Amino acid sequence: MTRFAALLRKELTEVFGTPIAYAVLIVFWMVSGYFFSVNLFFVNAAHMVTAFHNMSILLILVAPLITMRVFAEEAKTGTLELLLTLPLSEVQIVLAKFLASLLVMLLMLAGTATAVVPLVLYGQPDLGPILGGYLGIALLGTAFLAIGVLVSSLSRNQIVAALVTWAIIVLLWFVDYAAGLRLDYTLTRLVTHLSFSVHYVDLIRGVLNSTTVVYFASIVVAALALSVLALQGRRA
Amino acid sequence: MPPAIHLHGIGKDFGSVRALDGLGLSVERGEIVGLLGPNGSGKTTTLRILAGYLRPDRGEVRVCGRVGYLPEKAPLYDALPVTGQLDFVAGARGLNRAARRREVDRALADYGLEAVRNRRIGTLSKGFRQRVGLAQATLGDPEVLLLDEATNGLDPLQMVEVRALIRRAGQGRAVLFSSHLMQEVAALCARVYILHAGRAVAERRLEGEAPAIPAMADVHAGGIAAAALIHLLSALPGVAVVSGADTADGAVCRCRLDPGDDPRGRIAAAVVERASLLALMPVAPTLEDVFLDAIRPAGPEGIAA
Repeated sequence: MTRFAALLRKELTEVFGTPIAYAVLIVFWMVSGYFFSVNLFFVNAAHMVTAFHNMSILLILVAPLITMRVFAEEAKTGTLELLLTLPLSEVQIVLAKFLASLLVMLLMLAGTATAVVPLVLYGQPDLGPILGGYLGIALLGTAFLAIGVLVSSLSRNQIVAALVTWAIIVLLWFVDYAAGLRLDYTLTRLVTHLSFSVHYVDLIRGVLNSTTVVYFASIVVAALALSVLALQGRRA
Repeated sequence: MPPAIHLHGIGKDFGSVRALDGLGLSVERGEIVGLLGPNGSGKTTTLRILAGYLRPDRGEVRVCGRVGYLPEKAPLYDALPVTGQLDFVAGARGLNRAARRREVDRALADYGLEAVRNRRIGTLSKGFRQRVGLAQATLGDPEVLLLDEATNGLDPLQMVEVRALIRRAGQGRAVLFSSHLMQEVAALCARVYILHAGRAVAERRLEGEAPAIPAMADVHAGGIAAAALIHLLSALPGVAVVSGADTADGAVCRCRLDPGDDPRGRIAAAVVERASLLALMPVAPTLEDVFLDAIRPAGPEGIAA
């Protein structure tokens, strides 16, 4: 536990010791605040479904920026050699990086929660779906980050890591379009089930069913497990 | 007590490139041993295997105790302050808060880092970075210290400082110090392994008493030309002339002597018969001589290392 705590402390000091985290936070807050305000005044609706829509698109753009450096930078500067020769397990290393990234994203989402204040002051929002929506978008973002950690573990270049992460997320987002190709039944089911966009529609309405949770949980577990394997492969 | 580091028959391939090919060496506690070889001879691979970063394909690795490792480029996080870096490594080695504080303070004092303790590592000079790397390698009091090109790229003053710190860090530990610079190894190490093409081709002791019968000597004779002196000495058994030159008062020849058959008496007698013997001086071989000897393919003219 001492070792893992040391690792997590180091990750957090690094994240908040570099400008990327602050830039990502501020950009996300500004853009989502803009969309929320515009939407509020034009649509006059005391709910956040549209805001969650916009946030998930923003998250696709921003999540790869949070994770791009986690392993790519360590590989490039040679500190990965230090990490892998200290008495730390690959699982600990991957989890610490993932949790530090998760914290940045949760801060990002928490900042947008200020939007709920005017809704409560001037309207009667149904808080259930809003809370559920936040949970959903957090789940979506968690899956993005796990994919980002995996891609970063395979690259020495941050920009490449960000681009590839972004490509994978976008492909998984639109993979259900392939269902229109009139593939056979199993394939159609498969691409539909793999698609982020199909699952996320439920999420931002605050509907959490077990299929959705299992879907996101399997993406996170699979991506992190593959990251562990990628690290072990470096010792070969 | 078994040696702190013992490698036997280590082989390591990267694809079709054979990085290590049956390398063997051992290091005892309390000695600083050099790993000398040109770039690509397998020094870094050897240290990485000992540090547990790479797995050997063949052979036997035994390391007794904990290992502190300083790779060629000190692995430091530019965004962390010096104390943050050291605290992280101490924590990763399993030290609790109180022990970490003690160890980090000790390391800061030992390696002259107190003045920069709160500076971000990204703002430090190469010399200070190397000190932080060295301090970090000694956290948690490891029994074995692996230093890869630790004085490379420093200015002369920093080199002297870092050498002194390495000597201090080496007290009571088994240290393996790699370098492609002979004078660095000579300045630090009591013993050296010479690496070439993934094997330890020679082992030499660098300190201690000079051998009773020198392996090399300069013969200085008066009243004779260099050509004649070379001719005279070459005819003697147990003597191989390396070079000869005329001097103002005669000639001087550098000769390799066969230590199994002390030829010094024969040299003196032969020179005295023809000219006057001005000096017969033992010459300590430089590391360059040793290195070139060790990697020179042994042909008919080759001299066994």
